[in-house]
Amino acid sequence: MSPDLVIQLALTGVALGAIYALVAVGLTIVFGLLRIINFAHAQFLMLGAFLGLALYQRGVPYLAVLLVAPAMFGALSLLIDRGIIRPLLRSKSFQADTLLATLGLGLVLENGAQAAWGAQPYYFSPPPFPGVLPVGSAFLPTQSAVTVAVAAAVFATLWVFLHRTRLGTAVRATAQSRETAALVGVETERVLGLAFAVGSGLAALGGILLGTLYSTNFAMGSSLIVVAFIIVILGGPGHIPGALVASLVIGVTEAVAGGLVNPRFQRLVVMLVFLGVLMLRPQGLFGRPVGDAP
Amino acid sequence: MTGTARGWRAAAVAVLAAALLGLPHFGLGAYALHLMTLSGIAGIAALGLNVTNGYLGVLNLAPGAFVGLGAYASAVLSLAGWPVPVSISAALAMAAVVAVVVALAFLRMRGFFFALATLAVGEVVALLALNLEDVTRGPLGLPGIPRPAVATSSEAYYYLVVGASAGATALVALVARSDLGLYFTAIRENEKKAAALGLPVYQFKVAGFTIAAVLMALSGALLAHYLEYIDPYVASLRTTTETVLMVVLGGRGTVMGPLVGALAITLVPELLRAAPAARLILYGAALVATIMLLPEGVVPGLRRVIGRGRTAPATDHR
Repeated sequence: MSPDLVIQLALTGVALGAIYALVAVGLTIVFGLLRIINFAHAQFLMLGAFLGLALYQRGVPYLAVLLVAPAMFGALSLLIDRGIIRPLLRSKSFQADTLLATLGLGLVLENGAQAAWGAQPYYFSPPPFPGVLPVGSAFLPTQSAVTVAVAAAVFATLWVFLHRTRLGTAVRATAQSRETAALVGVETERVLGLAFAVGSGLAALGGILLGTLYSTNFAMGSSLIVVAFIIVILGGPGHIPGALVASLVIGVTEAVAGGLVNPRFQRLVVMLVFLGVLMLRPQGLFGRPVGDAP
Repeated sequence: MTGTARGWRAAAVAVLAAALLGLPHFGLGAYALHLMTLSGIAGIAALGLNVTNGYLGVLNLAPGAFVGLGAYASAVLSLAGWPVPVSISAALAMAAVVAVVVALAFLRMRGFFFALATLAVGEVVALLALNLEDVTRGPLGLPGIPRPAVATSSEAYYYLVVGASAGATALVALVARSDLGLYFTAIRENEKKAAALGLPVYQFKVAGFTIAAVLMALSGALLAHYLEYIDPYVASLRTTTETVLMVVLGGRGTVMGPLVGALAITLVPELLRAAPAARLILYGAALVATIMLLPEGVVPGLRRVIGRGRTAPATDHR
């Protein structure tokens, strides 16, 4: 086993981890604010990728696609927020209800996509960033490097937004306590909508990057979503830095386990690591102790 | 319940039983019988899921895990030469052991994170079925699974399934009407209060989850021996979604709800002659619509209509 191979695998894992991070942070933001798990997040990712692909094929430059498509998708997602999520939030059993309703929504979206676009994979062609970059004696596809850079830029922007703007402070206040935030004048209903749109936009961005790196197809989201759930829980639900760390850990574990042990067992290794961690720390690696969360 | 209501109910059950037992003799085609068998098998899993999701109020997304486990365990053992009744019993015992371990490990997790953990257990079962090729033949699936000696014909198997679902229904009805069912409902309605009153909430949850898992495994085993073939798809999210839909559509926390749901989910797409993808769109839309418009489910809704405004609260299952 050469060290080059390990580095190569780790680099692959970092790119994969960056995509996981975008998807999982989107999920964890929605959870942090609305206290729900959006099961259709997987299909949002897939639809975002198809939207990005459509724009790219119509000649929109790739970097502009990365900006415009998630924004468009985030705005569109507000229809789901208003139509399905909000009416259910009033019920005592809203967590189970929203999970089941979004599970159903995901089924509709995924099979609707299959009916519309078939089961075949689609590719961003010509590839926006062909070629490879040498990293020591290993090689990193330029697209992977772009993926990591985009994710890093997004998280930096998110951090500045949350910690250095008034609206960001309002978002954090609402995450801490919806009632208290409302009492001091935060329009919490709009903050929840913003969180849902941002979370969905991040899913779309993750989808576009994933679709560029590999391929775009109707099932791309559902094959990734259980891993995204795992990352959210490992990182501590609603905890953004936790989700980032967990994404990298899972991405690298998956790539290295796939390369060194056996590709067939990589997902299994991830699941077993997850279940093992949960047994020891049910609140996740970085979460608050159980019973503390609202 | 009044004496006349009890009489009506007994009569309804008798008519239903006669109809189910007479079904193969009404000149129904083999295909209709096949669908009834499948919906009976699915109904057993839904009855099990209802114990946790309906009575206990614990969101459980493990049908994929335990239907898959039951199917593969019984299939592998019977292919190794074990008699089918023994292989099924062993599969149920395995499911019970796994369920206790899963419940002990994860039931302390808050609310629906437990649901996601059960989903991951399902993923593990599916991945094992897919990758332990020496035992499961991976994606090719296992063919040639024997039927039990007592039910080799489709008609006999239909009766076997009717008997098994009647047994499962009786078990759930018994649990629901016993003190245990009362404790489950207390936990669902207010877990903290139940604990404050001295109920061993955690132990009851473990018990409920295990009952649910055994019934789901029975459903899986019956499916494997009926189809005489099984592949990793059985442990997928699709099994979970369909079973959840059956329970939600029929009515969470009602004895008959899951069976009504199972019949509807199996028969309606057939009647509509829906293509497979259209069928899943239909399932998804039905799940969203039920949760949003009729969260209590069809059976309590019907009961209200038939009872002509004799309004029983939706949560009262007796």
